[in-house]
Amino acid sequence: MNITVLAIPWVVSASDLRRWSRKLSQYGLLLSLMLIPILWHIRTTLPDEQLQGLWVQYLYSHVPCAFTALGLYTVMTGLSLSYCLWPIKFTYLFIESCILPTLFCSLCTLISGSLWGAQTWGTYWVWDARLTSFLVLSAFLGLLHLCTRVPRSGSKSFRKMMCILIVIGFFDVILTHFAVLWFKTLHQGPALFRRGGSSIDPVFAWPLIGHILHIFLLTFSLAMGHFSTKLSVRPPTLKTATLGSIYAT
Amino acid sequence: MKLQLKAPQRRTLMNMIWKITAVAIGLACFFKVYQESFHLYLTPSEALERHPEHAVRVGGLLLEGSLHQDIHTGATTFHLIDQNDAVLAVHFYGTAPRLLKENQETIVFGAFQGEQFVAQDVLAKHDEYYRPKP
Repeated sequence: MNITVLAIPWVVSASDLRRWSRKLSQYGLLLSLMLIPILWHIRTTLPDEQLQGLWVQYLYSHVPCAFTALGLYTVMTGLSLSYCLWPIKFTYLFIESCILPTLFCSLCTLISGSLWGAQTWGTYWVWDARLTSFLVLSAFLGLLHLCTRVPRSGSKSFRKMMCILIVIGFFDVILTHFAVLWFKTLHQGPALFRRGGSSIDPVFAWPLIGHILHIFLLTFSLAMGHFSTKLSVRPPTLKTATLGSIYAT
Repeated sequence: MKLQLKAPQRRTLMNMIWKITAVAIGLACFFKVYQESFHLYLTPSEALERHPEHAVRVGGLLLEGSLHQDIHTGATTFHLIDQNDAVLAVHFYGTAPRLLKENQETIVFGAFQGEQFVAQDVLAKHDEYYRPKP
C-alpha cells in the first residue's frame, strides 16, 4: 500500500467531510439517546451486589466514562504522532475536537467516582496514585482546551506543539492505567480486562459492556459534531447547528 | 505495507522516537527510585517494625472473627494481617464505612499511642470481584 492511499483527507473535500461528520454525529446522538431507556431498564433488573448492595449501580457511570476518557486520549495520542509526521489539517482538527468530550468524560469519572467512594470506601477523595494521576489528566485536558482558545492557534508550528503536549500527556494515561498494579492504592485493581478473565460476575459484566459502548458512541458523536463545525466555512446558524456546535460557538 | 517516508519525515520520526524513549526511561527511573513514596499505605508488618509515632496509613486484610463493635463506648476493634502474618490490633472510635467487613481489605489512618494503634479514620477497600447477592 502506498502512502498516497493513507493520506485520504487530501482526496476527500472539506464539504464532504463536514456533511459526513455531521450525519455521523446526528445519528450517533440519536442512537445513544434511544439506548438510554433500554440501559435504564436493564439496570432496574440488576440484582444487588454482595457487599455494596445498590451502590454497585455507580459502576455503570464510573467505569464507562473512565474507559472512554483513557481510550479517547490514546486515540488522540496516535493521531498526534501521525500529525507530527504528516501535518494534515483534518487530523489536527479531529484531535482538537476530541479534547472537550474527553474532558467531559474525565470530569464525570471524577464526580461519579467520588460519590461512589463516599458510599463504599468511606471517603470522597484520597491522594492515592490512581486518583491523583487521573486528576492530573483532567487538569491537563483542561489546559489543552485552554490552549486551543489562544489567539493565532491556527499555525502549523502551534499545532505541532499541541501534538507534542498531547504525546507528553500520554505518559500520564500509562501511569493512570498501571498505578493500581505498581503501587498500593485504595482503588481496586483492573476488573473487566485482567489476566485470567473478568472478575465481575456476568450478570454485572454484560450491562457494563453495553454502557461502555454507549458512552463511547455518545462521546464519539459529540467529537464528530465538534469536528463538523470546525470544518464549516460559515459560523453555524440555528438551522445548521448540531449539539457539537453549541459549545463550539 | 510499505511506508515511504521522505528524508525530513524520517528525521522527525527518529527525533520523536529518541525523545519519547528518553522521557520514558527518565520517568521509569523516577518512579522506581521514589516508588516508596507513591504507596498509599504501609503493611502491618512494616508498621509494627517502624512503630511510627506520627499518623500513618496502614492497610491489610481484616482478620476473620476479630471485628468487634462495642455499642456502649462506640469503639470498634479489629485486627489487620498481611502475608507475613503480622497482626496489628486497631482501635477506632467513629463511624465505620459501609463495607467494613471481615476478610476484606481495610485501610486505617492513625498512630500508635503507646502500644495501641488508634485509628482516626477507617477506609474499606473493595476488591475487584463483583458478585450478586445470593
